[in-house]
Amino acid sequence: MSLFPQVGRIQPKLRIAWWALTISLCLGVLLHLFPFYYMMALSFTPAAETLSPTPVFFPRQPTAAAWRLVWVMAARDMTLGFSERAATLLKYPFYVYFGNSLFMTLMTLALSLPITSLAAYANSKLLRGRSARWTFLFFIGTMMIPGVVTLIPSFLLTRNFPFPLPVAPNIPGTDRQFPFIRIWDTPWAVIIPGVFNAFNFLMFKGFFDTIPDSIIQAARVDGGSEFNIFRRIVFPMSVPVFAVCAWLQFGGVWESYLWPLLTIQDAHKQPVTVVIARLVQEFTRSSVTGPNTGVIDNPQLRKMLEAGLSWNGLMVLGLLQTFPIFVMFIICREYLMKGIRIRGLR
Amino acid sequence: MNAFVQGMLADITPLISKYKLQERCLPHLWANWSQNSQVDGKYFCYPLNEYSPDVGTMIYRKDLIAEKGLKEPQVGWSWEEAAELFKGLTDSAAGITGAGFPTWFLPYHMAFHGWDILTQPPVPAQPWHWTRDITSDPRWVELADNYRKVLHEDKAILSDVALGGGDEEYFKLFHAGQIAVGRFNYWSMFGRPTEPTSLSAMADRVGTPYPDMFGAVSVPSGDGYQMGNGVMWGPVSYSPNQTAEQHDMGVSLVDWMFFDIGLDMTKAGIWEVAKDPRAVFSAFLYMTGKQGYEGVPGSAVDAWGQELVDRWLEIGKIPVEPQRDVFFPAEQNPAPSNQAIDDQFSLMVSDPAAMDVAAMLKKGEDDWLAAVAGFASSTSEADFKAAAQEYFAALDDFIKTNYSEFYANRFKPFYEGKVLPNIS
Amino acid sequence: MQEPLLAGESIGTAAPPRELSRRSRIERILFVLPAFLFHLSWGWYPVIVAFYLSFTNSRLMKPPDFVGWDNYNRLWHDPLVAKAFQVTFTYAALSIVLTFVMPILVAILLMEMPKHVMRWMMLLWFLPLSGIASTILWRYMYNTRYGLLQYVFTHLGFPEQRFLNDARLVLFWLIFPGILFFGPGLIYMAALQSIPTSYYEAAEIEGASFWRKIWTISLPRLRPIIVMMLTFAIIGGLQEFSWPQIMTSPTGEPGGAARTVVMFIYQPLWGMMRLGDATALAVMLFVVIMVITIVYRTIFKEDPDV
Repeated sequence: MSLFPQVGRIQPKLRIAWWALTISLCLGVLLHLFPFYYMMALSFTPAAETLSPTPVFFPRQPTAAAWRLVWVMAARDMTLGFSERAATLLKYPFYVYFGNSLFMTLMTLALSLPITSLAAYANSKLLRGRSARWTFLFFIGTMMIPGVVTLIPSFLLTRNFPFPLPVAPNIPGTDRQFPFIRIWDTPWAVIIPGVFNAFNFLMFKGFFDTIPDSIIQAARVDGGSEFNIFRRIVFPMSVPVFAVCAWLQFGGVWESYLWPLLTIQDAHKQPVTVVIARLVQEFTRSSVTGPNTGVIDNPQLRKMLEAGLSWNGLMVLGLLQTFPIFVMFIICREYLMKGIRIRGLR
Repeated sequence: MNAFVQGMLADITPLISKYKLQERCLPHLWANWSQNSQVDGKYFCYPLNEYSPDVGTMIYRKDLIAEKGLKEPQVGWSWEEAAELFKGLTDSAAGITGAGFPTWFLPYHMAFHGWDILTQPPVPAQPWHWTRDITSDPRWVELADNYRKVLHEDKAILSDVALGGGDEEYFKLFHAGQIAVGRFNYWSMFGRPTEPTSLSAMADRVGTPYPDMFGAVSVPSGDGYQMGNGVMWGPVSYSPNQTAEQHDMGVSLVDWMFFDIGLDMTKAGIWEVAKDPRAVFSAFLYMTGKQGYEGVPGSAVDAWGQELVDRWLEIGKIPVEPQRDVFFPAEQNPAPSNQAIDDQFSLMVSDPAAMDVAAMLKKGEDDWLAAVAGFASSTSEADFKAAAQEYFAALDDFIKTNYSEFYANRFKPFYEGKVLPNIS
Repeated sequence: MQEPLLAGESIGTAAPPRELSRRSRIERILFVLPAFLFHLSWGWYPVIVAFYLSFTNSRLMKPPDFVGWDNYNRLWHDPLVAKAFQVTFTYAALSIVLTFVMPILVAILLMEMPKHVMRWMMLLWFLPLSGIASTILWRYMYNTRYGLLQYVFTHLGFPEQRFLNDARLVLFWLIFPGILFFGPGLIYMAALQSIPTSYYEAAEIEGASFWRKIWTISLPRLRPIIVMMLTFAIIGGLQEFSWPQIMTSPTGEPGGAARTVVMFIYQPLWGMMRLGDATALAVMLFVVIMVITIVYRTIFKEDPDV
């Protein structure tokens, strides 16, 4: 409460102003939350209603069909005899894909946060003058390059690191190939390139720059390695920044679609984004059959499909995709608030 | 074809004759498949028997047409007839639009009036051997204006960027009864009745028999020309790293499964489970022309009605014109895109305001010409000329035989005026 | 506890004194080494390869041939490339003007709430909606027949809108959902909480009003962060790709009005396997971004390191 005057709080003009502020913030919240509400409402609406020209804020005949349908597909409940086409899309139960995404994301965070933050700290506090400048440019220079450029070279590198070629070359004069590392078709293809994150680097550096040098000097006088200084003093101060970076990176890796699509072929290792995108495609396709698909004769499933195969089903998938980010957000917010409490309470 | 040229697929020519593929297929289907599955006489794939006339088909609501007393479309119908039909079917009170097409339908529609042939004269003397000539022919402006009129003024066609560039959203609208005609393919017509998004299911739900509810027709054409229907089939190719015996085994398996007894077994199996001819005959167009299967009573006619089956066989028979790729050597260098011209079409479709279509086409042409200056073909001038002579001679022959009216009014002036002088 | 310093002040340098430098030099290197290795192999190395590819007629399966400036020449003369740059600049500018200021304001105002309210507000204001979910939702809302926005417009008495179909307004409609996204606000709040209240009290004693306090205390404190975020916004805005592509179409309909440079790289360049052209255009974009960023940083000279 620092912007409002401390004295004279009771004056009506101030109270009105304060309430006006609060109310407009609340309205803003509602506006911001509206898309979420809308998605939830739509996910409970029968398909035909989603196509009507008058918008549906509250479904006239709410039905959980879309949710049930997605659950069936997710649990691969074959007893309901649902279409083999969908079964081949989800070769493994949903939790396998969820687990893949989680592993990739958390592993990236585990490697990236320490490595990036230490580099940023060094750049901010340990290096001086020219070396600091050049390392800074080195680390963030690639941000200005559109990612699409590096797509193919990076892809080739995941196959035959360090040779950006379709096939590793032979050692000159012999028939043997150079040794190479292949991280393609493993979760590491997603993790390794993500370990250094230039955006987080900038965030950390920006924050470390605001820590007064005097604190560091005082710690040095007390002795101890730079690493200990970082661990004992700087890190606890930077919890909010870590929280924000962790959350943003979580979202980034969790959401990544194109890169895992290109680099992970084995269905068992694919993340949830790729799978949901395929499900969305399946939901929106017109009915395409071939001679070998199974037959749905379960009336329950038929009814579910009827009710769920439209925008409402898509909304369910969208919400499922968002859910872990949401959870991570809550966790990180806790740390962010903790940071505020440490430094903000006066 | 590109993959084969780059050495990624095996040559299986001897197996084609070993399994007597040509003898077993209907002649016009064999001709079409064969043309596109070989390079210099070497075959690189084996078909899966099933085909679909995939390019240029529309599905319409027969019951609505009957209800309003309109004329049912026939294969080879003209754009004028189509426009009348769309207008007649549009019923804003009931929330029905006559037709729904993706936004790229306008250039597609032009192709059915000979756009692809008539606007691309060869110019062997220039580094890139093809040019574009859109503005010298007022017919294109006419066609675009007319399409825009039906789209924007009569509101008989529905197109929306937010519906995406694919067929799916439009199919949903068709299924919901909001559009009465759509550009869909053979697959979407013959879905299984147990799949709720299929048209069979829709017919069941409404209670009208399927053959009375839906009909299929080719995309309306004009000026006496019908763009050769592409026929789609699933090819199977083999790795060049395998031995000849392995190829043989592979081909024999495909042959057995899709041409031979395997097909009968599959159909019989489906019949046993579903007991519904619509499920069995959800695919009924085969290169071999096979219509009946062992262990399955009846035929596709029982499933869909004689008219529809005949209609699809008719559509599949539309002759395929000579394909450029077959005559000219494969291009090694990058090729210019048609984006500049497509952009202008896209603007025409998306904006209902009055527009100077001629000026827009000119802009598209100018932009394209400005860009093409940076391209050079890998084919030499002499090679190109030789190939062009062959190609255009074949094309000339084809059109003369099949589309005499189009030939006389449209193709001949083009051929003699713009093509021959350049390639002789 | 010592008063934190405002940006720009410092008490001596933080770099360690010479006597300790041997051990700390090793530590310095060790701190930076892992990041350096990863970034060299997965950040710069692909870029260098890509630079090389832009001077070739690269094809995926065959080894590329060197063609010099051919690709750049070709792109220079293509009117559609110029159009793509124009669209990209407009998009980035519009995006910054409309969506950059709100999170700052919201973060500043949110700090005024009591702690428990702030907690809830933080949760609700900054709740993220995943990318896929957003596209699904907004495409539904922009539908000209049964979309929510059409309904709102027609019932407020405005004529029917064409939303994404309108070549002149499509960029606005693409950016509009971003106005409701306040994600970066969290970052501003993280910075704001380090300002001690004594500053505000001091200002108040001197008679500063509400807005003046914001102007003289909150904003200067946020300045480094704002400058940094603006850098991201510029760099990111100029590279915008997936959102316009999914919302309209891969070719940036209608009529290429939504086709940014990166979209042009994907379609038609990648789509037609013109990889040499694709990388060349990406390099051109990179040069443009770098020039803009350098100009911008010299204007807002904030970081002495760059």
